[in-house]
Amino acid sequence: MKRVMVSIVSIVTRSDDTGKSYRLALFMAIVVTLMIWGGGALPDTMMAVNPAQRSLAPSWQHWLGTDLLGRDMASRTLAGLAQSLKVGLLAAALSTLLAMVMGMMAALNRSLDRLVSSLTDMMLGMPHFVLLIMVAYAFGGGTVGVTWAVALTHWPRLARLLRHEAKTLVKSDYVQVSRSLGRSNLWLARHHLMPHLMPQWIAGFVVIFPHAILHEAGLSFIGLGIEPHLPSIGVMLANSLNAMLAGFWWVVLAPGLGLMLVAFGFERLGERLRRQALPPDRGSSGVSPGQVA
Amino acid sequence: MSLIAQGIGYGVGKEHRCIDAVDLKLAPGDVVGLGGLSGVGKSTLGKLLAGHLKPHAGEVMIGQHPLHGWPKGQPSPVQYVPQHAELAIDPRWRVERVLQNGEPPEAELLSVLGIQNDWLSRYPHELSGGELARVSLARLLLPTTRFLICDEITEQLDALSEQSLWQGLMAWIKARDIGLLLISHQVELRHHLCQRDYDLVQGALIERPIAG
Repeated sequence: MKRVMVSIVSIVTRSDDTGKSYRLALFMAIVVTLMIWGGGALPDTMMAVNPAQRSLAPSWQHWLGTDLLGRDMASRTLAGLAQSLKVGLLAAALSTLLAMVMGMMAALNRSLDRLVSSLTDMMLGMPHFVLLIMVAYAFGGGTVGVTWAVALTHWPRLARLLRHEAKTLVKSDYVQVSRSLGRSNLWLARHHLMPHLMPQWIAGFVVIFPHAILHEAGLSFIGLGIEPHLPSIGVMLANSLNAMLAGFWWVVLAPGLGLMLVAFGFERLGERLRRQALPPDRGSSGVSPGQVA
Repeated sequence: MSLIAQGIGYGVGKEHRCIDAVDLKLAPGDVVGLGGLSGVGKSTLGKLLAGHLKPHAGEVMIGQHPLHGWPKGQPSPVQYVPQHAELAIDPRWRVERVLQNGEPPEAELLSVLGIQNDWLSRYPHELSGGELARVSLARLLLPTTRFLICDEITEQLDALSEQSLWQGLMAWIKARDIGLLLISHQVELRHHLCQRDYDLVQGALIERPIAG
């Protein structure tokens, strides 16, 4: 345990670019853990409807004010971010897993390559948000619908990147040698491709994650996402429209700022990891976060 | 069971054919040399004969069976030892894992090739080019290997190490009746070890008499 702690401290205190990335990653991991844990641990009484405390401005008692139903905005924002982060994590994990499988299948089998390429082109050719709405609707909306919608619409760009990398690996001498030693495609994928694609996969995950949260918020905003009774950022933003018009600016500030900070933090981390996952000569001309997500 | 290339061709696009209608037969125990200018296609021919590349024309046969129809999941009887050993080994694997990819080599083979125990725990970047060449060779000399294609494998070795490696390897393959295609720029080495010698010129094989 002591050795692990010493290694973590030595990595995090490095003064180079890698050290900065690790510090940012550690900070974001702590933020996510605190939000998910804190959001889940909040007592229901803190978010209960209280007509006597409707639309109160920020004060010592309610740091971020209360909404039109008298619910504490700080508690609701924390719980909403926890909900959004959970959906975002699950959707990003499913999406990047799908991208990894698609990329490796395409690299190892010519017929599947044609299928994956056509599917990728088709998905990328369709309007992104329309596709999200269609998938969310097909899965019946709600938490399940929004998770599948994000997962099934965000894999193509990462799959295209991983396919390209995997194809280069498959042609390498050491993969050819393993093949001539009788190794199966599944074995090659597990032992040669996956370990080499892991840095790109992690970078892709971190880039897709904020997009997943934003899209979750977007779908919830139009009523196709998380159920209205659950505290989610999208639901809160949708509910805050009327409050905004009435001049209760704090009702939109907390969820909006929370969403922006989390998305920005992960966008920065994703960009850093993406640069480090690519060889130095490709760092400047490599795939941008927009191309992955 | 011989390794037979029947009119094989390979090229980039329709215009440039680096290998053009090549016929070659390698019987068990044969030691054949292959030379030619840099970039003429020697490594490509080696990879075609080992099944790493599929010929655009003709076929490579192993006995009566096409090499490309060799059952999946079974080690190929033809093994190709690549020119750059550092690219032929997964950089994330320790030497021990590299040697156990396939059937672990016999202790005698490790001794013949001069592979030392303390290399086993090292990563490829912690070995020299010569040491990597030996590791690369050892993992391909399986009991099922009938033909070996060595592509300039001793280029990175000093003269003494090169001599000891070839001595050990030749004794090993002779005892097991393994056919060898030796790709090298060193004419003296080819003439010293081989029974037949070819030059690859403009995609075709031209047999050269063995000197001495």
